[in-house]
Amino acid sequence: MILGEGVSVFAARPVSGRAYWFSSPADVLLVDPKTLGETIAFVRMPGVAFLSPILGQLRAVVCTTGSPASHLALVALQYGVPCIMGAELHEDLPDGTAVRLEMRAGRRARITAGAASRPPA
Amino acid sequence: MHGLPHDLATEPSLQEWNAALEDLGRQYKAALQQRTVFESEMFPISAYVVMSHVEDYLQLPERLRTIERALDPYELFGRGLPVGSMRNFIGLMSTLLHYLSGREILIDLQEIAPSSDLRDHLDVLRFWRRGLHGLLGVRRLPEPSPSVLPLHRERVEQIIGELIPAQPEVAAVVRRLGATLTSYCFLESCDSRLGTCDTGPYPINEERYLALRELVIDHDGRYPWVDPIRSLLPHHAFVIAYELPTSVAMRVNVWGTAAFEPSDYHSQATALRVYAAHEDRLLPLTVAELQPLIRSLEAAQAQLYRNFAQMSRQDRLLCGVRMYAWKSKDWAATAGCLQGIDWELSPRARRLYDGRRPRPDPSRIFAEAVIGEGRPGSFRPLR
Repeated sequence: MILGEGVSVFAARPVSGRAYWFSSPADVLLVDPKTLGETIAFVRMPGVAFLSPILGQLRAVVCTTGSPASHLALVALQYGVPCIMGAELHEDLPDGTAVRLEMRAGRRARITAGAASRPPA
Repeated sequence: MHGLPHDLATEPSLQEWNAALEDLGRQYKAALQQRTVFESEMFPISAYVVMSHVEDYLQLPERLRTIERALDPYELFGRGLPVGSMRNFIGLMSTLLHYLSGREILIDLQEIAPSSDLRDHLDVLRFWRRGLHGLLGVRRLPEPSPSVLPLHRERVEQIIGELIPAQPEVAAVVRRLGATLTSYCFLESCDSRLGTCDTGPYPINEERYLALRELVIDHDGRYPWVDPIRSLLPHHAFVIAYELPTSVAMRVNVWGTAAFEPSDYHSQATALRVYAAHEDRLLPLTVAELQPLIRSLEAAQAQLYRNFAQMSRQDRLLCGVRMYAWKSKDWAATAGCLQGIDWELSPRARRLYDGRRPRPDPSRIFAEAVIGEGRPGSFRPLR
């Protein structure tokens, strides 16, 4: 099931994780560091300062605006963190949704439903 | 830039300046359009961009005249290293681009006429041109190209001789350091890329070239928000050197950002080196020094982030305005006239987004005035 599409910053193997929306600096400061390795961060704006303290620890990033030339994309690339920019979501993604990102060279990146499993407590 | 006399001794005519600005404006517009959106959950970027560009328009000419009276910009930008301080390519280019953008914004807001302040424009342009010649170390500018090569050949040879083969463990730690430094610089610079500049490609041979990334952190009090952080870091200016095969294309844009094709150039690097820049020296760091440096940066980043998070959005906006409007502080300090310049924000710029009155959407102002829909480039001719 395709949940959304966007532009991948670099070609990468598919990654799976849990979608969590980050909307304010408090979300970044209060996140449990132990969960970051499984977290696919969803953000609405392509600045990079907002996620900067945790960006290198994330499983992946999805931004609903911007392009591969945006600052968020440039730094995600440097960390080697898979990143989709300008994502159009076909439906709401509540926090904790299992998702899979497919980022193939030369094609639109896809956000699909991931394997169902229990979200971390 | 197309259209300018190559010889520094010849002052360009207004017609020649306009030809050059048309070329610059096309490149600027094309680069801006690739970014599509300029906002952040942390900083109100569009608002501080509009305010700071207006501030530059209002204050920069007199500030640059003061600096030029103290030191010829050709000498100012020819001193020391041409990388690793704000006397670098992005500092010089962004100063001109932001000033000209301020003019476009104020014309669109109908606060100035297209014919206003020509003397100021020519003073800014003269300073910029002399600075660019000094930075590149030439009396004659090279033809326009997608390369920016301020580092003299002897420095390039020094770096080539000190490169370390990009074994996987070395490449991994350099990549992590580069990412952490870049991320820190974006935070310190309020989500702008003023602390990050790319230069190159410096040819090594027919098969390889050198790409340099400069990362400049405030070391002397330019940004008050860094005051509690500064001492956490052992160095404040860095240059990362990447040896890349010519199969990876490198193109540097008008403000010193490199684009690589393929984009994941890190994995293509055959040799690397990290330097700390001090005055006119590049100090090569050992691989053993890099991991502690990453930890120091992460600690500094976490503290700076908490400090920004505790500020109101309006205070973060003012940090952004100051960050952009204070680009020339480093130049004034080098010229010995830092105290002779009033660095306060002008009331006219402050009023734009002081939260007390409704103002037009800053994203729309920037898009209409600077990206200039319907115009070939960002800048209208001077007159």
